Amino acid sequence: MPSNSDTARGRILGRIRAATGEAASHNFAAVMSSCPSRERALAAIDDPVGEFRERALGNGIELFDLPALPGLCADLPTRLADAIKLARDGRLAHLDWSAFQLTEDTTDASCGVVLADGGIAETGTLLFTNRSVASGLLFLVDHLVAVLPLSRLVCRQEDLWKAGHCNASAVHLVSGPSRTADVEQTIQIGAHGPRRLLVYLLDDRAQPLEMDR
Amino acid sequence: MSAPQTFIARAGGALDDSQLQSALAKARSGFVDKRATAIAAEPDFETMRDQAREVRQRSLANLATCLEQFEQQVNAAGGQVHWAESTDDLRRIVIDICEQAGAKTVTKGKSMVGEEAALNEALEQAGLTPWETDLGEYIIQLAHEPPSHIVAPALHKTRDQVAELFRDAHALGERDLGEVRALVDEARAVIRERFLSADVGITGANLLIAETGTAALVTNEGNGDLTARLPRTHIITTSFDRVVPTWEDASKIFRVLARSATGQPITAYTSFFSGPRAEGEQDGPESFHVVLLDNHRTEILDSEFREMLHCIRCGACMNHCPVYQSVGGHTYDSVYPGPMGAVLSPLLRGYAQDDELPNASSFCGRCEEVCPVRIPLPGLMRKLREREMVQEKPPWLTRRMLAAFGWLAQRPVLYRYLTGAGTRVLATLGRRRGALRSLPLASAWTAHRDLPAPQGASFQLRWARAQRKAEGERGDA
Repeated sequence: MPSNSDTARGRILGRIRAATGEAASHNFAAVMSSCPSRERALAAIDDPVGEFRERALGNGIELFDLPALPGLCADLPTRLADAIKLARDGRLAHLDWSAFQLTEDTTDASCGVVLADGGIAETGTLLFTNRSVASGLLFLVDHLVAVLPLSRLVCRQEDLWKAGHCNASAVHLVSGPSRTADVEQTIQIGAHGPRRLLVYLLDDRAQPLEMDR
Repeated sequence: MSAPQTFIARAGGALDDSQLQSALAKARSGFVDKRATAIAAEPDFETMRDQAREVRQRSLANLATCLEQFEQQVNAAGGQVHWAESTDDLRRIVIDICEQAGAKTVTKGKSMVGEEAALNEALEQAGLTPWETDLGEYIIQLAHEPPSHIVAPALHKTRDQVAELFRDAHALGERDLGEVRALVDEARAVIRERFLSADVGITGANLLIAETGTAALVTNEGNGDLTARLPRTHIITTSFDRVVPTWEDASKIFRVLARSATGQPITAYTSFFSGPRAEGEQDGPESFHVVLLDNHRTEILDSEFREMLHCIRCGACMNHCPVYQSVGGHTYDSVYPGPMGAVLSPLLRGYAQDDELPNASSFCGRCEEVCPVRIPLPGLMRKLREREMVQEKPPWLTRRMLAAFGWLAQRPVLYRYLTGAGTRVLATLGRRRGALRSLPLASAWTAHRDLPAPQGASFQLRWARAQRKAEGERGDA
């Protein structure tokens, strides 16, 4: 085992400790619980669904209400152009997709249909983990269609972290279509990711949709 | 052609560059107005700033503990943390990983640490082909220029200049590139192929989360995610000061980051990467590396400039800086321009000419006013000026003038008399137009603006009169 000053790691951590006065054997959890935040909390969000709608629309998301999940396949063709190649989330495979041209290859699909793992009211945001959805499906398609079951909507980001959405090698918060303002500060939708983001709000609060992962 | 050596010479060139001035004019209103609108819509914004500042303080106070936790968690997930004391170390580590992966092509997301280490040049010299994927970074890669802004790297380019770069770089025949839409679509098509074929993806990180060994990345284009998730190897180049303890802490930073940077409540994409693809997951890289750069940051941590490490790289300070707005980022001759760069650049690299940077400020205070984590930027610049006075004696003329001003400022009666006389002279000269078009010895200044003629008496005189009047009224009562 090389001594601390033999490695860049040892030297950097040594200099940091000299500056901060931290002991060498500090336990992370113990240290963090000993210094909780003393700042004021943010105001409560009284109407999460209303807040989500307002924020999502502000982010350029197209919003629709979905009374029941099977209705998705009937409504979708009215929102999309014809002759679209569609890739879908495995968790939605049981729906009737007979009216669509399907593909398993996300690089070939022009539309992706996915089920959101969570929603955040404060910013009109959807959460996906790559336990359930391939990152490629979220970013390579031209049109992304997401179903958000309202039972999975929370007020703030922290509520999703408390619910354990942090344990996947990729967690994506998606808050609108892809955009850029890199040329003359002019906002253009559709930089590298989806040009459209359509979100179906599924009211499953009486009987929550099973989380099937 | 190399840039002139001094800030003042470069600033002169920038002020005379009409294309640059036209690009800067668009950015000025864009960023400032968008931020103002976003903040007006958020009544809790001041609380959000306090929370974010506290997270940064707590992170740095427990930095070694957080970093050890971070490394342990990355290892547990099957990834690897590398420690780079210098930018040389960072370049070598990244090239070694690419060579071990047998890589030829590399897609890159925006990384300011990558820019700080001039990583693209090093990759090219090692026989690799780096492809920038962020539109702004791609534009400046084609132009062979450094970024001029930490959020919008190609802010200094007009759409016509971008169209010309695209015509030179993409053999796509005759086409209309007059609209921004056409430029964005063309870049999308060209870069899409690269996402799908690259061997290695290199991104930066906006934050590192200690508790789970996670790197968080904020983008609007989605290029960061495609760079991170499609190639077999993902390398993150960042500096250790990006770490925060928990996911809750990260949320507190995100709340102020996009609002301050682009005036959005949140960017289109905020993504969290914790190691390579795990069993049962849908996709992701096979290997995952985080390279942590020091490059003098441990010295900053141990100095009176520690608060500079609170910076979350939103760019609000430069967007609101009258100096940056006038001369643009390249005038600072550093990848970190504007007020944050005027503090950070001298501390990170300590070039002799960096002493000029903290002097390129009128101390108007707007940078501190808009900084989401309340870094006292003018105060830090003042400390750097003081340090310069002690370490590097300024030129004889500057010293004599400062000494003369110091002598005068300690003699209030004489000071009031002379400033009063000066005010009267200027008011008389500028009486007809209300402003002075030119001044002796200050033609460089008046070439670009007029000096408003003084109106009435000095502040001290009016204050004294108001006090006397108030006393008189109290006496009457």
